[in-house]
Amino acid sequence: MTLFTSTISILVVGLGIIGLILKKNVLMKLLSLNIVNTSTILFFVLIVSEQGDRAPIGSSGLARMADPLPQALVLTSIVINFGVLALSLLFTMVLVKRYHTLDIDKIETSVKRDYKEESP
Amino acid sequence: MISLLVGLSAYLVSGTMTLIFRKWRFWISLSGWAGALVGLIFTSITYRNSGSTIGSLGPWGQLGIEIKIDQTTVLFLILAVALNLFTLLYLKGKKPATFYSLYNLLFATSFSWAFTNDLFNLYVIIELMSLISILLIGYDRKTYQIYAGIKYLLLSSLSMSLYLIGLAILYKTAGHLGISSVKAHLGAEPEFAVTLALTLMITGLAVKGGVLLFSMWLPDAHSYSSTVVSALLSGMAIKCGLIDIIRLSVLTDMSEALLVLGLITGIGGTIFAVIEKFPKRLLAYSTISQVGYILLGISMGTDLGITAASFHILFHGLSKSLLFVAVGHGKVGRIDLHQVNKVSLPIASKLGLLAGSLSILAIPPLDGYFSKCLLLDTVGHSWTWIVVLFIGLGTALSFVKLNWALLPGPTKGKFRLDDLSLIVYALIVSVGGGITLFFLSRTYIRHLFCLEYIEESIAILLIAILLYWLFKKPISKIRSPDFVFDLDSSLISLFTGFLLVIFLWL
Repeated sequence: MTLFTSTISILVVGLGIIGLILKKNVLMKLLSLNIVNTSTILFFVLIVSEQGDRAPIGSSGLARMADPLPQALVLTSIVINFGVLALSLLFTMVLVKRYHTLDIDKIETSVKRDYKEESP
Repeated sequence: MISLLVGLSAYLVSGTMTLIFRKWRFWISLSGWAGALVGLIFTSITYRNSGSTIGSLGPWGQLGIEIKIDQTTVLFLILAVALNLFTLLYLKGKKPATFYSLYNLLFATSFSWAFTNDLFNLYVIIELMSLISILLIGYDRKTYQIYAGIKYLLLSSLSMSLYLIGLAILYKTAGHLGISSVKAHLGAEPEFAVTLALTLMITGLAVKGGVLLFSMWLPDAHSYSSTVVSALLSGMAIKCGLIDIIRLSVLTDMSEALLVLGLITGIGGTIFAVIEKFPKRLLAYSTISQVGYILLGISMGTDLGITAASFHILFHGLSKSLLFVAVGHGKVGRIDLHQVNKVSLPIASKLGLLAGSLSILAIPPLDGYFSKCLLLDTVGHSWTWIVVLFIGLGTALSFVKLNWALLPGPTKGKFRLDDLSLIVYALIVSVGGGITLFFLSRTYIRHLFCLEYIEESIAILLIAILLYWLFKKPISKIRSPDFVFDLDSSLISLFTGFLLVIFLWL
């Protein structure tokens, strides 16, 4: 069961990466990135949950106690992903305000033109 | 452990205090630097007395965060402290308080970076460092800086996801997070799962470390950001990924993959640098080619190789940050090298440019010579040696091109404090390397001052001058393929590189 679910989470990572490469819209790219990050966390939880899945409360949970360390790790990386998403949305907002487009190709051409035209 | 605590808390406190007492931002940052210096001194004393040590933070034994003090730690701390003092004196009050706060926090992350030996802690610090450096890249709110920041953010976040997948697999296999505990729990013969996990982790670190195919964000981020930020990026931020690769290289034999990556990075970086026409971008490509040297040193797997790589991290960081500041100080980062002749530059800028270039070209007694010597010693006279010579020739060609256009013009400007800091730093780059090497590892002294290497680097420089004089016209006609570094193509090249590493390993 664990193998099946973790394979599925890896497939979702692949899906996110395909979206990241193929989509031209910056917002779509950021959403794909978020899919990659979230399914990475899913994979992390699934692959280390094999030993046990009970909380170690009282004496009943000790038989199949879950490893507490990965949960702490995953919590950290969820917070980090939130920070990354917030910052990237802010940066995208600045670009959209200036260029009025979300298309990455158009943004790249305009950025290069702006850089060349600005006096050093 | 005291040293880590002192340095880290000094930087964190000064990072917070600059936001509160905005007027005294310079002096608060300077006191943060003093704390870091104390931390460095403690660390060096520990290293001198008990050699390389592995400890643990907190009273939990193996569950605590593992820290390690070794030669790489000491050398990287020297780099961070020197870079901090130099950029601080150069900046002196030019930037607002929020910039200083981010700047101090960046140094705090790099300080803890030098110590950590724990795989998950590495992940957290890498993410922290990339967020802070992205804020610094986009600090002036120019659209091109914002674009470079987004590209960096996308690539680094994606790569860190790959790192986390690898970490999960490794944790499942070994049951620990500290690198030395993981090594104790791994079998002698590497399993497939471990190899896959390490490939994913190396991919993640290579994106941060400036390896060609992986970190295609580098040229844009270095050339678009402001002077001091590009010096910090090239001098310190990308070195962190390389230090992690050094730390991970004890887990398994990864020499073949690193050798191929090093060769690709070195050769590709020099070719880009030779045909580039903007000074700042040329320096960014030259950074990539020097990362190739460092990877070659690590890939040899011996103690000497790791030492050479660590020293090259230090000396290249010093010289390249000097070059970035010298070019930025003269405001010539964006002129066309092929069309301009006789630019007027401040005298400090010229001195910095000359010292930095000679150091990168490994002319004795400047810094770069020593690490290059150790590297050539590691490589020996195998076929790799010819490639190293080729990379050296390409580097020499690109720097001859840079100096040809910038040095001969008239000098201008009045003499100010930032000029003085630039000149003092150039002096440190000129003579500091030999002193550091003498104090830190006398065992390697016998490898240096070999007449063969001195002749070699001077001969390479002369050949490069001749070649540039002969082929000036054809070189200037080649256009640099910038589209390779667009967002989509850099994502695709990341996966090409990932597949290449897996292919090499299996």
